Parts: sequence; structure tokens; C-alpha cells
Amino acid sequence: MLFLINLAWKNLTRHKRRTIITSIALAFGLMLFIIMDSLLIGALEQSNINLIDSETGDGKILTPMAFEDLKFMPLSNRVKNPSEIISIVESLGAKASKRVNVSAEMIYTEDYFPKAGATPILLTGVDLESDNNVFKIFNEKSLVDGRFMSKGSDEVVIGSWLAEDIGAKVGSVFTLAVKTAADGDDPGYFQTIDVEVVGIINVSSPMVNRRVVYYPLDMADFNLELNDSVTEVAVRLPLGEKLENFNTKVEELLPEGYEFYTWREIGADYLALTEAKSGGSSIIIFLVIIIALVGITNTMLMTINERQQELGMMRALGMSDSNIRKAFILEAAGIGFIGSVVGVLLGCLLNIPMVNTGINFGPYLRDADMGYRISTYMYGIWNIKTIFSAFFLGLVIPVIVGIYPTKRAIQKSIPDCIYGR
Amino acid sequence: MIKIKNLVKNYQSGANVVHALKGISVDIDSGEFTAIAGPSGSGKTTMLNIIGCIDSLDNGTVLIGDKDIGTMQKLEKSYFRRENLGFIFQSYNLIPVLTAYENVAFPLNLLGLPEKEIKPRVMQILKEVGLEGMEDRIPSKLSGGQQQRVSIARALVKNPQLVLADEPTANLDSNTGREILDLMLEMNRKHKTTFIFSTHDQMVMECAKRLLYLHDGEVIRDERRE
Ligand SMILES: Nc1ncnc2c1ncn2[C@@H]1O[C@H](COP(=O)(O)OP(=O)(O)O)[C@@H](O)[C@H]1O
Ligand SMILES: [Mg+2]
Repeated sequence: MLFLINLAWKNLTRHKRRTIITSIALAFGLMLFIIMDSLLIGALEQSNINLIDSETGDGKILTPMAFEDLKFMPLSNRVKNPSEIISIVESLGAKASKRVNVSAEMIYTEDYFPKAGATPILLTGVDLESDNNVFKIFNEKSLVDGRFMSKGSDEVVIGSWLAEDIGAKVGSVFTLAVKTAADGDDPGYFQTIDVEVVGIINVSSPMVNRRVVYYPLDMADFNLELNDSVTEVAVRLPLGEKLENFNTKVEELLPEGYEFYTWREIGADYLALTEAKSGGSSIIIFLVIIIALVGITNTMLMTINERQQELGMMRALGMSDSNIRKAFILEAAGIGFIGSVVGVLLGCLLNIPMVNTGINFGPYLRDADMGYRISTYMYGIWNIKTIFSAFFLGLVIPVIVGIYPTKRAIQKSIPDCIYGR
Repeated sequence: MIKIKNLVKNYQSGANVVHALKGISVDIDSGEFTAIAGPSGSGKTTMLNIIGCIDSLDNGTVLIGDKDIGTMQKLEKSYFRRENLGFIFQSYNLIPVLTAYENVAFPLNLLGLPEKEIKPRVMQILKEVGLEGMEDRIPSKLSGGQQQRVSIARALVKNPQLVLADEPTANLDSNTGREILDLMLEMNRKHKTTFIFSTHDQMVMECAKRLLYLHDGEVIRDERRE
């Protein structure tokens, strides 16, 4: 066996350039695999965190009807007694904040805007005292211009992309048209509220940047006649607490007609979209296999063709077919080994800036809604499993791919080999 | 030692059948130094290949010792070659990436001998063929004559019953060819190894102790000299 390894190794050095090109092609594919996987999984993890931080919290307490209607966000199906719910949540060591979310129409005129128009938005009434317990919206980092709205006034803060889209500035005034709740016999009516933009924010969620208008909760309560009811109580778990654990505990305590929905349940559509994109890494694996398949098959066939005579001679000397096969498999594995080492090294090296600095996908994400809750930088992650798989794949693919050409090496009769027929 | 009876070999060449060997019968004794001579296309290579168990025969029998090679399966032939036969070819004779030492050690590696047994044998035979000190050279750093010496060493290192050489001097100038032939003769004398080699070179034929002259697949002359 040792002499076969020696032979395979020396054969690899015979056409150094060819060996290097083939291994580099493989290495390149493996590198791509590591990088893509790092970015896709990194983006997904980061996107999930951002979704939690700016839209869903760790979960929300809603009525089942409200959960069904999450897409349309009418004001029906409310939480009637938020303070009771909040104390239940707090009794379990978690934090809570109430919000009113309702679909609304934003109507703006040429008095304050370059062009008159109307745009659908999501009006979110926030309790400024407790919102930061759950979400990460109202902090200096996210404020691009102006200030946050104050309690008891008709002031709003809007997302920066929305502001750009319609040309809103601090000081712009527009009208919100909102349908009030349909409760029992009361069909509700359209309420219009004139509000002033006092601040513009940019957060990690494109969804918020694109279509959310934040309004003080007390003003929403007054104008929409909610009588202290809200549409949701958002929850932030203490660090280390498991969602499932909290879920079972809180559901025992919650009054009839309310349920805890995890961020995964609330973001199910979003998750389906983004997690499907992570499947993209399997396409990369496929590409790697194709590169390796073509490159290595070609190299092996060339090698075997030009060594026809030599192979005939070795077989004449009594080298068995199985030894010849082993020698070629070892040669293929050698290419795989070089490719794996170089590919994994390059992949890890390139991944360092991906993890530390990230890539700014802002301009791209701004125009194309990919579902990701990322509005600027995407960061890679370190995935040891992927790095090991890349190495393993790099070793195994050439060996599997090398089997066919190797078969060809021993098909011809020995005299045909020796005399080059 | 070798008994060939009515050996027939035909090749299919397109629509034609080439009668390469047309019923050859000849006995070769152990320790003989036999040349197969004849013009190009007369069947020399075919005959050596059949004796060497790398080509099949169509009719007749070939016995090497008590082995009937006509009845051997592929794998059996491979083992038989590995254990009993030495080969010297005209070209593509050595593995270009291996050193002289490694080339000579190759047949012993195939036999699975341990390195400590291989080393003294290889060094000894390299010395006998006059390549002492050149063990670490790869073939391209050796002259044609030296390369053929490595081949001879490789053929002899396992002490085979029989060495087959197809035109071993054809690629060499006449002086070097002469030296190679002298070396083969010396090895034949010293190790009592049976040699069968083919040639169409007059000078080489004269060195042979026995000359089988082939023409169109038939032995037309069988001479012994001292
Ligand atoms: N594989 C083959 N296919 C067809 N014809 C062959 C084959 N091998 C040898 N021959 C023919 O058999 C004859 C004998 O060839 P060969 O033994 O090579 O002669 P020599 O070695 O004396 O030159 C020639 O006519 C050659 O063309
Ligand atoms: Mg010939």
C-alpha cells in the first residue's frame, strides 16, 4: 500500500499545472460553498433576531381571531384587559409591552409633500414607557432625523424608506385614515387624524423602514375609541428562557380567549421564504459537484490516456487490476486532498471579513423585498459543520468521480495498451 | 521447460483475419539464451506475448514448467507473471516518476515483500548491472543504455524462471546494444535464468545461443550454437 501511495503522489507531480488547476477548481467550489453557507445562515440568524427586535418580540399574546387576521390587521379581536395580561407575563419573569397595530391609509398633500398621494401603512400605537422592554426601536442608534414623538400629542415617527419614497421630512404633516373597530352591532367608521412627522428612523427591519408609522398609544386609544384595549401584548423572555417552557407556563395562566404565539408562529410566512433561500446552499453543493465531476473526470481521462503504455507495462509485470484501481483512486484522493485543504483555507480566510465586517446589501435590499429583516449589512457566521462537510466532500467527490475513468484504464487488453492501440 | 505445440494465433483486423502464428511447435530448455529473429510482422512479438501470458492463444498448447497457460484465467495469469516472469520491453519500459531504485523494487512491492528484504536485493542487482550510485535517478536522468540496465535489473530482481525481452536493443545504438546484450548473457550465465528475446538485428542474432527464425508466423529455422 505504501508504494501505491508513493506512486500516486509522484504521479500527481508529473503534470503539476494540471493537478493544481483541477484542485483549484475544486477548492474554489468548496470555498464558495463555505462562504455562501456562512452568509445565508448568518443572514437568516441575524434576520430572525431583527424580526424579533423590531416586529414580533419573542412572541405575542393575541386573541386567536387576531392571529388569523394578522395580514389585514383590523381593530376587531382585541386584548380587552392588557394590564392583567402584562402582570401575568411579568409574574413569569418576562417583560411585556402593549401595542395597537392597525392597517391605515396615509394621505398626503402638496402642502408638505412634493406630490399628493395616498399610501397604505401600518399604524403602530406604542407605549413609549415600556416599548423598549420588548423592542429595539426607540433608541438613538435608529434615529436618523428629528426626535421621538411625545405622549399625548399628534406626532409620529416614520421609517426612513417610507420618508424617502413619499418625500416626507421632519415637520411634514399628513392625514391618517383608519377604520375604527367593528364591535358587535357597531360597524365602526373611518376616522381621520392629522399628524406631524417629528422623527425619521432607520432600523434593521426593511419592513419597518418601508411601511410603519409610530404613534403614541394614548393618542391611538383616544382617536380610535379603544377604551384601554390593545391589539397585542408583546413579550420579551428573560435571557436563557426557552420559548416552549414559557409557552406552557403562560398558557396555564392566561384568561380564556387569549393565547401566546411565538415569533416563529407569527413570522411563519417570512420564515418559509427565508428558510427556502438558505436551501440555496444545496445548489452550491450541486455546483461544486458539477465542477469536480467535469474537472476531475477530464483530468483522470487525460491521465489514463497518456499513461496507456505505462499501464500496460505495469499490468504485464503482474500489477493487479485492483492495485491499478487503488493507485488511481489514491491519485484522485490526492487532488481532493489538495483541493479540500486549499478550499477550506480560502473559505475560512474569506469568511473572516464576512463575519467581522459583513457586506452591505442595503442598496439591493432597499429595492428588492427578499423577506430578510436586514436593511444594511449581512454578516457571515462560523459553521464548523459546513467546514467539515466541505473538507469531506472535497475528498470524497474526486474518489467517486474517479471510478469511471479508472475502469477504463483496465478495460483494454495488455498488448493493446503496450502498443498503443 | 517451455513446450509449445502447434501454437496458432489469429487477429481480426477489420474484415480480414491476420494469421500471426500458424502452428508453431518448439521446446525451450531451462537456462537457454534464445533469440527469436525475423522480419517485421513475422510474429515475434505475438509469440513472446503469448509465452508471457499477456495475450491469449487460439489453438495449440503452451506449457511453462507444468503450467498449461492456455487454461489459465486472467487473475491466475497476473499472479503467474508476477511470480515467475521478468519482462524487458523496447520502450515505455520504466515508470518515469519513480527512481531507478523504486523501478527495480516495483516487482518486489507487487509481491508484498517488506522493505528490509527489498533493499538489499535491489542494491545488489543494481550493482550487478553496473548502476551503483545511480539509485536515486529518475529514468529521464539516465541514458538509454542505463535505462535498459534498470529494466534488466527489474526483470531479474525477483529471480524469475524466465525473462522475456521484446527487441531490447532496438532503441539503442549498436555499441550500447552490444553492452546490453553482454549484460543479458552474463546474467544468463550467472543466475541460470532462461532468456527469450526477439530481434531483427543481425549483430544481436549472432550473440544468441539458439536462434529461432520466424517468417510469416512459422519457424523456418532453429539453430543452436556454442
Ligand atoms: N492486435 C492486433 N490486431 C491485428 N493484427 C495484429 C495485432 N497484433 C499483431 N498483428 C499482426 O500480426 C502479425 C504479427 O505481428 P507481430 O507479432 O507484432 O510481428 P513482429 O513483432 O514480428 O513485428 C502482423 O501482421 C501484425 O500486423
Ligand atoms: Mg514486434
